[in-house]
Amino acid sequence: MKMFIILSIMQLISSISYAKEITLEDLSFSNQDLSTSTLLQDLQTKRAGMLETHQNLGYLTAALLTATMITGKEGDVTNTHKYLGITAGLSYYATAYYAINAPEVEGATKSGSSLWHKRLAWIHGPLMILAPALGVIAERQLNKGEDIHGIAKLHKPLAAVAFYSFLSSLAVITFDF
Amino acid sequence: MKYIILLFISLTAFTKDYTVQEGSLTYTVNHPLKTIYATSTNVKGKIDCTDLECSFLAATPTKSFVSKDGNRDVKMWHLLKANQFPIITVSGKSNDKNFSKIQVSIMNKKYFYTDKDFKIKLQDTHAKGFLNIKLSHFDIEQPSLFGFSIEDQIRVNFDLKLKNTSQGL
Repeated sequence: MKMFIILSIMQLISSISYAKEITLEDLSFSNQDLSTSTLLQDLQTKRAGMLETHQNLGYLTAALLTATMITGKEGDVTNTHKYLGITAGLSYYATAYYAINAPEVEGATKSGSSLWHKRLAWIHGPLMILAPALGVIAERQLNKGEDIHGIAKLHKPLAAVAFYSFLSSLAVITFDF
Repeated sequence: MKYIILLFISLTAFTKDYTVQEGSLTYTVNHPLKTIYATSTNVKGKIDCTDLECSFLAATPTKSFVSKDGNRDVKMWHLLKANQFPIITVSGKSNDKNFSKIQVSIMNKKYFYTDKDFKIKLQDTHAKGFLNIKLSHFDIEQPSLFGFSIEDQIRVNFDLKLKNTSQGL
């Protein structure tokens, strides 16, 4: 009996004097919170890599588009403007490819800057097809010795809208508004 | 026998347990072009205090942080390998009820921070404060934008409401 009392007291003192080790199991997180997946991690790594390429190509495209806009002349077409335009277009489509094909990740919500970035793509995307096509028509008219007329007249304003909406989509990602 | 019962009662009266009832953690990321805030309200934690010492563990799922931009949150999941290491934990032990050292675990990498890097203000059942962590301590790559990397130091502010869950008298 005496031994039992001594042991009980020792056990009580040791258990009460030192705080017990708290583990993650004590916090009752849901299974969803604790779940792991190598497959999802790989998917995210792929997505991050593609979006980084998208970002870097976006900077290059912005620089090429700026140069194309600067070299454009009213009622004339120079080779510099033409080839810069072709390069900027190719760079633009490559940029778009990496954004469109980046795998979606489950649980991610589309919000804030990236949502606006995507919305603006609906403006500059179609215009980046239309503006170069009108540029080709405008060049043919000039080569025939004609003034730019008809739908080709829209090349300049549409290219400007495409340019500024592209820069805006870059700005919304770069700065928080 | 009655002395044992009395001793047990008197000793258990000194133990106090608290659990985090609700709260938030907000991290601040500084970049030359912008400052980003992301908050998690899925915070769980426990404080176990005896007459001699206190120990605590607080944790939050990495994916529970929400900033103003969903795409940025996904990038954060990638950097912190949220699908492999879903939980971030902070733990500590003290012998004077003032924590002088706490351990942060991110991606199973552990780092001890001293009271130069954090402040905990305990008032009744309310814990408030901050913790300054460094990404380099956990080998986390600093993301960059326009060629500028974010600052290595990340400030985490916390505001937790505690509930006394002691089973003693």
